[in-house]
Amino acid sequence: MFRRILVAIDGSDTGRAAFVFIGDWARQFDAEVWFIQLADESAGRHGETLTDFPLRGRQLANTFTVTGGTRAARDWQLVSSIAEAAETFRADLIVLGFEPGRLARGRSSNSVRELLTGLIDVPVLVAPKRLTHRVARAQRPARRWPTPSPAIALGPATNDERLVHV
Amino acid sequence: MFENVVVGATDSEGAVRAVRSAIEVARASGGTLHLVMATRRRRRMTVVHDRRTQDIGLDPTESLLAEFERMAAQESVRVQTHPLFSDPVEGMTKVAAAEDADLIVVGSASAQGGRRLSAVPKAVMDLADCAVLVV
Repeated sequence: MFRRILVAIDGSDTGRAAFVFIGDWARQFDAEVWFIQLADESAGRHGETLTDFPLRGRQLANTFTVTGGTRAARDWQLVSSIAEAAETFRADLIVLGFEPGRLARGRSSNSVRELLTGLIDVPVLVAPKRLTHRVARAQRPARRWPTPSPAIALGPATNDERLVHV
Repeated sequence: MFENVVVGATDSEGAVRAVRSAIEVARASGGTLHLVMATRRRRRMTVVHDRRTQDIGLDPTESLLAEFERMAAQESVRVQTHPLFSDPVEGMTKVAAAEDADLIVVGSASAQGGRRLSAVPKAVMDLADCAVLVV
């Protein structure tokens, strides 16, 4: 079973769904999870994801930025960054929580998921698209902190230079 | 967490890997494994006898499903089989929707240093609402 999971998310609803989904996974299967977040400067997307697991308090997830004139260039940067992070973390599973448009097939180029599966021999899980009731509940302010889970270990708060593309 | 896990079952290397992973996930989470074997046409084994082709009634898909069932039973996983005469993508996504699946597991072909996605896993990822695991 998967024990070291790398989660790549953006600020979309799918990213939030992936966040909750993988939290459940880590608790049940006692897995270690690392989050990295995509910031696409060219599209003006500057969402930030805060980890809210009480064990480590609220902190900024690892963020990496992709730039480039074309979608293919940005996708390739994104895939390279994820693959590099997966190798650094020695992940045995990569979870993608990106907006569906980013994962969809382009007219003339492969999508992120196809590029990633072609580049690295690690299982890839595409997070559920729909906002389940659990995700919707997680988006509401919590009345109190949930029970701390020692199974979840988050990456360092500071950016890893190897993951940052400016 | 994964009460219903759907996996596409064929005789390809990637599909066998997918079935093994799906069994592992279902066993760890105590869920039910749904084996979907969707083919566009019935492939029956035939023999030639007295210059005439004779259908001996053996269906390779049934024996493959039985083999996968046996693999799951060894791991004490509950199994439901869904042999369908339909498009594989349509079959898997329909079963996933009907069973309110939490996860669909699909296989990929091995390539140099990585893997290659065929049309089926790509389409499943496009159409499925639940999580899709590519192994």
